[in-house]
Amino acid sequence: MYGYFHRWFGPVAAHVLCALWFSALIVGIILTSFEPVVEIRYGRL
Amino acid sequence: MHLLSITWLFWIWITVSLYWIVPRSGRVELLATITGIFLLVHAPVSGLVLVVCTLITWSVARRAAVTTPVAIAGIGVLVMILITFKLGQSFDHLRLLETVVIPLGLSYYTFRCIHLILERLKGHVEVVCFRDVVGYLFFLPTIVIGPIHRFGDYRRDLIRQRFDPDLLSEGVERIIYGYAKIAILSNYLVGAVFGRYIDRIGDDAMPLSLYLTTVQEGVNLYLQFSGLSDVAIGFARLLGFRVMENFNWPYLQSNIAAFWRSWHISLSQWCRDYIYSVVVSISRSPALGAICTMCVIGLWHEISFRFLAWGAWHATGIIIWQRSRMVTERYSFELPGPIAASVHVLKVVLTVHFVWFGFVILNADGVWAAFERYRLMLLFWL
Repeated sequence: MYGYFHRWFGPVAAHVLCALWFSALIVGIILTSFEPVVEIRYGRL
Repeated sequence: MHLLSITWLFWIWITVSLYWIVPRSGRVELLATITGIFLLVHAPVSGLVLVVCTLITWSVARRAAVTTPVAIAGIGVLVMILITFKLGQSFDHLRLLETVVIPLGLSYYTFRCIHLILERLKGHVEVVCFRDVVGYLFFLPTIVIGPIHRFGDYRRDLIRQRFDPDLLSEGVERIIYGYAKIAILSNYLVGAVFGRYIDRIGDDAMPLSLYLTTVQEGVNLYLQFSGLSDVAIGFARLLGFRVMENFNWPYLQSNIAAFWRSWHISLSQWCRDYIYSVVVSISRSPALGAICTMCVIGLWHEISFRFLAWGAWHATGIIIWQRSRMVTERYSFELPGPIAASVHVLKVVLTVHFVWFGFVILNADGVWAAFERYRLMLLFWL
C-alpha cells in the first residue's frame, strides 16, 4: 500500500497515510470482531 | 481454535520472535518443534497422524531410486488414512464410533506428502533428508488451512533465507488484510449488515431473498477462505518464505476453467498436475479428466453425496466450456470494442452465478433441498 501512496502523494504523505490506513483497518477489525464469526460450510478439512 | 482468535496471533508472535533469534542452522528444528507443540496443545490426534504420515513419506522419499510400486504403496497408505477419517466423519451420524474428529489440517498435509512422493518418483526432487521432510510437513503457517505449498518452493526459500525487513512488512500487511477480509468485510458487512437486509426482505419476496442469500454465501465463502489464506501467506512471509498464492480474483473470471485456475489455486494445481494430466494422458479425453479431477476435489473436501454432486456440477460446467471453446475457436471473429466488453461482462456474470448456484448444493441440507431452493428462486411462479 505504501508504494501506491508514495506514487500518488509523495514520500512524507505516504508515511502518514499508510499509518492512518493500517490503524483504521486494525481498529475496524477489533470493532467488528464482536460480531459472531460466520460458519464456513465448505466441507471438513 | 478459530484462526481469528487471539490464540493464533499469539502463536504467530512467539514463532516469529523465536525463529529469528535462533541461529540459521537450528531454525527448521525450531519451527518443527513449535508446530509439534501447537498440534499437541490444540489437536493431539492430528499431531500423531502427521508423525505417521511424515514417517511414511520419509520411508519412500529417502530411497535413492523411488520405484513405482513403492510410491504406489506409500500413496495408498496415505490415501487410506485420509479416507478412513473422512468416511468416519461422514458416517458419524450413524454413531458407529463415539466421536470422529477429522485431524486438523489432515487434508492438506496428506496431499503435501503425496506431492513429495510423486515428485521424487518423477525425479523432479532429488534425494531428501529427514530434516527436509519434517521441515516441509511441520510448517506451522500452512498446517491448518493451506495453501498446499510445493516442496521445491519450500527448499528454495529455505536455502535463500535471510532476514528481510521488506518481506516482514509484506507479511504483516498481508495478515492485516486477511483479518480485515474476515472480520470487516465477511463477518460484519456481508454477514451481519447484508444479512439483516436479507432478513428484512423476508418472505415477502422469497425468490429475491433466496437469491441474495445465495450471493451472500458465495461472497462470504470467498472472503473467509481467502482471508485465512492471506493470514497463512503473511505468516509464512514473516518467516522468510514465499508460499504460493491461493486466490486470484476468482469471481472476476470469464469462464469456469479460469475460475478454477484462480480459486483455491494450490489444490486445483495439485489436482491438475497429479490427476487431470494423468487421466488425459492415458485416456486422451479432457472431459474424463475434468470429471475425475472435479470429483476428487469434491471428495477431498468431504466424502459425501453433496460434495460429489458439487464436483459433478463443476465438471459439467468445464465440459460445456471445453465443447463451446471448440466451436468458438472454429468460428471466431472480431467484435467491436464495446460489444466485446459487454460480452466479457456477461461471461463474468454467468460464471460467477454458476459458481454461486453450485455452492447451494453444499449449503442446502442435501441435494434435494438444493433443487427445492433452485425451484423457489428460479421457478417461483410454479
